[in-house]
Amino acid sequence: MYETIFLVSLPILVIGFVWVTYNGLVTLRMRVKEAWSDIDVQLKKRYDLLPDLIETVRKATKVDEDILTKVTELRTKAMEDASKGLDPKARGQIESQISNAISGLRVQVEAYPELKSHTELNNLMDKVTEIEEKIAYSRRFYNGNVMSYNTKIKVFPNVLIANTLGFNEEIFFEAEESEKADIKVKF
Amino acid sequence: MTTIYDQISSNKRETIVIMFAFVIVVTLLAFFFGEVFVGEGAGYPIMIFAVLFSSVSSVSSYYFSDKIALKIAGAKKVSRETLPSVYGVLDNLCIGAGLKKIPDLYLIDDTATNAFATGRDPDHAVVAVTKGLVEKLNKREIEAVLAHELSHVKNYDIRLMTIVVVLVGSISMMANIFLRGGFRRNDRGKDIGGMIVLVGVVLLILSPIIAQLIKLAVSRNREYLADASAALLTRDPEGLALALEKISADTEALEVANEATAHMYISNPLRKGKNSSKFANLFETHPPVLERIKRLRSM
Repeated sequence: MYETIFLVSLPILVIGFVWVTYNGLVTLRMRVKEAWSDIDVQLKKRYDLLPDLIETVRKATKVDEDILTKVTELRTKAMEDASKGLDPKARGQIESQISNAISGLRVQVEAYPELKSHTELNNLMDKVTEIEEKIAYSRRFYNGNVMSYNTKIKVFPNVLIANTLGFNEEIFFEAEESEKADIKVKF
Repeated sequence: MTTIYDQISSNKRETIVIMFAFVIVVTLLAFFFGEVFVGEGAGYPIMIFAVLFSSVSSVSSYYFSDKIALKIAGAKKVSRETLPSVYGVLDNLCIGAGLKKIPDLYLIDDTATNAFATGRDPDHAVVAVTKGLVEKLNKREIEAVLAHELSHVKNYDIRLMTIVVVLVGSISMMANIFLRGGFRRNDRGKDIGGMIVLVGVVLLILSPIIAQLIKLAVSRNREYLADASAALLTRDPEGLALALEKISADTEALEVANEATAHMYISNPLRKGKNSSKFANLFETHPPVLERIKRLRSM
């Protein structure tokens, strides 16, 4: 009698455990993907803004042409990477290069006092700042989700299921140190 | 250690406990009221009425208490066009917190510096700030305060805290009415003096329960946890510390706040010696600001 109960309930328990864990992991992985697409939206907004910014700077004053070309090139490269669907690590590298280039451009523009009253340029610069703050926040949310997912697939006994059913570690979207410092200084 | 997830489920649980406690307390109160003031045997029909009344108000406070709380505070909805900078900060924080719906922003027309959040869940949340807060705090500090409020939203603190406002508020109101009704009866009647004592005892028993409910809802850990989550969200504990310093240095009392709503605010809106009562001082609803600042600085 007891043996029968044991033999019947054991597979039910195992199936139940696998079921619950699997669904939990899928949900977490979905959250990571969702958070990633939030970052993507903000990054695209920045791509859209950059040509305007470059044109306006070019019209307003004579800044170093190199930096303008550099931003344009980086933007093209980043958009190619985005359409190729590269992983967050590769995307992160080029995106932080863009951020650095933009802050370099900002420094140059600020060197021209006559540009302080240039409304169009100021508006664009404000918009860029705004989007960069949004990128920073969506990155935090994404990395937070990656962290909880990666922890979840590594702890026992989830690790057994995660390995068997092919749940791989997700990659953090990192910012280089200089960009982090920038965000801090902006307040 | 309490994590945010424990906090969410315990908040949901406590909300239900408080809603039931309200029904029980009102029912008992009504029973004694009926027996003592209306006549022997009248307690039971009144009690049945009270069960119905309190159940309905308990359930409806789940849906409408946020609107009542905003009404009490005299908060008015502001459009994005009026306060674009504050909305901008709110948008960013919601992205960081993963809140899909950005809460509506309400403004309290008062020069005191304070803020609170309300609503029954993150999809029906409202963040209210005073005019003074928007004017006196800089962007970094406003961001920290809003992050603190959004943590209350995300933790479901708002559901519990707001329901407490309405339910506890109405219990004290009823207790007041019954007490006054009793005294009036006392002038005319002769032999109900002993009954008055009985009701007095009931009220005495009730008051600590009411206070306990409030304390339950505003346990100090809730504020500390919201401070910590806010710091995690903004990556800037110092910003919140500075904001709390500024808010606590401002001695102006928030006129629209009272004992029932005080626990919802980021910092106690009732200043000692102004519109605070003994009751509010006895059951301090907020952890000491200095201790909060100290914890933020040690992060």
